[in-house]
Amino acid sequence: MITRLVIENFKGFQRVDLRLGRFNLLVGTNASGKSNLLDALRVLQGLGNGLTVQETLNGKPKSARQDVWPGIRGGAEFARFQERANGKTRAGRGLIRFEIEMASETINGLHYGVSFDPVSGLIEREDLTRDDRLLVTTGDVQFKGRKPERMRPNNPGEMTPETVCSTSLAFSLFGTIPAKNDLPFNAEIDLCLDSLTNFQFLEPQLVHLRAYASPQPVVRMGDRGENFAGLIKTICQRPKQRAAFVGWLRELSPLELDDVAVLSGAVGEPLFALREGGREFPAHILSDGTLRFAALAAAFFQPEPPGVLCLEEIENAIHPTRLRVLVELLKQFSRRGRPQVMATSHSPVVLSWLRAEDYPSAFLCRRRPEDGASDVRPLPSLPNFARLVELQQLDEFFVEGGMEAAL
Amino acid sequence: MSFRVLVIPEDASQNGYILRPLAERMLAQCGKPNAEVRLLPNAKQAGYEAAKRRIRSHLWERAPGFDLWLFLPDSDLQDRSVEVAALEAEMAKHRVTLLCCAAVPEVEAWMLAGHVRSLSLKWAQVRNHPRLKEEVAQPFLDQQDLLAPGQGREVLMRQTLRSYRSLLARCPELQELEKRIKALFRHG
Repeated sequence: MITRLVIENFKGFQRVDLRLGRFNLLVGTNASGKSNLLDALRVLQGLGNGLTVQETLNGKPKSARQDVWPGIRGGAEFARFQERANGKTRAGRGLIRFEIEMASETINGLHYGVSFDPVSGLIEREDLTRDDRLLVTTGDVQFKGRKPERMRPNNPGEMTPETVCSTSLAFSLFGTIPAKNDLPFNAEIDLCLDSLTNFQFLEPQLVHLRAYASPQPVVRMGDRGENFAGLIKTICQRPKQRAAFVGWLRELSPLELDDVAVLSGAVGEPLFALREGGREFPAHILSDGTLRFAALAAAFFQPEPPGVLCLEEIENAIHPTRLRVLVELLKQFSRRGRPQVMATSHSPVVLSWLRAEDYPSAFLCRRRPEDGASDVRPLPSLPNFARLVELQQLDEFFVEGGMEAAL
Repeated sequence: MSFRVLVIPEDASQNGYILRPLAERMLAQCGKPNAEVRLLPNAKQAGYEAAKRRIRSHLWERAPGFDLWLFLPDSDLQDRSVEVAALEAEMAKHRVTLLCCAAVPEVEAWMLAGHVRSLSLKWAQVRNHPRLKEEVAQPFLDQQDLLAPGQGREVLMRQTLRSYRSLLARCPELQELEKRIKALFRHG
């Protein structure tokens, strides 16, 4: 899991440094930085997947070998932090930097950092350290005036701790190093690559949830819910998982739900359905909220779950009385260790279902009035927070703008 | 029209998975197999005192139409009999039939009653544990690693309910509650 995230000079962030938990919830007003924080994770994912900086930021169209990569909102032009002072916005300058700390059952204290120029598209420095011991680095690259070239590390087979690969970079180091078993820090590279690439930014779209899926076995649905019905078919082939999945859907459904079902198209393409009162109701007549919740729940039953599951505005289309179930779903599965959850919400009801143990990884995003920069901080760090939640329920505190006012 | 029962837990987020199947089974044993059991969900309600406040704050107007209310809090190893008797009498003035039953020591004990062999404690130790939820029930649930809602609390409670009589034998407060519900139905 990712235990720490540092973002510098990216979009609304001048600098933020966050200690992450297994279930992380971002709350805040519109345009306070919640989605930008998830964009930062998408940049890391793009670099980890071997895209260039400019492809990561601006997008890469579909090609024979690579599926479409949509880029980041605003692209490279708006990627840098732009300071506001005296009512004016100053053009962004300097490098963007991201750092993450990672941990697994066997590895702790692994740290990855990358600095890049969004306009030239060059990576200036990239390094991987463990417990402050340098494992691999690109060193500082003086890239001014140089053209991007595909990065070639100095003979990866001979890499040892503290190896320095100095080269001009367009691609991320860890997206191009072949993970060789004979590398002395191969396990660290694997963890880093997994942490950088294994995100799922799930935004289920009804058009996909209501559609027939591929008849091929599905172990993970697409970010927009593509092949959802195929995933349900896979879940249904595992009796224990199927029973648990149906249990979650029953919690949502106001009526007696018998089971999930998978209908078949002309050539065996699966279609999601629910069975109620002995009758099957196919996806195209199910309610938006039922389908959306089913997709979110199914994400936790994927045979190949992501390392980090990112969900925006989790409350969308779900009735307030059922948000308890949703929060429990996210908490219960993230508590098991995989996937780690990063979610955003505008809902006071979602907040009201948090308990004290959830507060350290519930973050308030807000724009600082003095310079317009996004500030992200865990709720317990708000001044006098413990006393304030004694005096007032968290949801009321949120609705009345008390969190922002406390700062 | 089915018999409608409102179950009021201390903490709806997790206790509900234990209390709803329990209430359904007990009502069936008392002659109401088709009773409609609803759980009162309220995020703001956490803990015994908060639940009592909620009941007293005109709940009879906000949740009308129930034939019976069951308030099933944790006893937390305290004698709550006088307090809950007063609450029942108070609600009777508002024409609400309220029966209270405090779990000894916490609601999780009712779920664990059918799984004592899987615990490293004797039943008497479970009944007297000051931190049962955190130190016994939660590690037990983690060990089960169930994917169902409530970390499988409902699944485990339904397993316990397969030996309903031995659950009541282990938890005399439930035996007393069943007796009171039966008496209520007998006397209309």
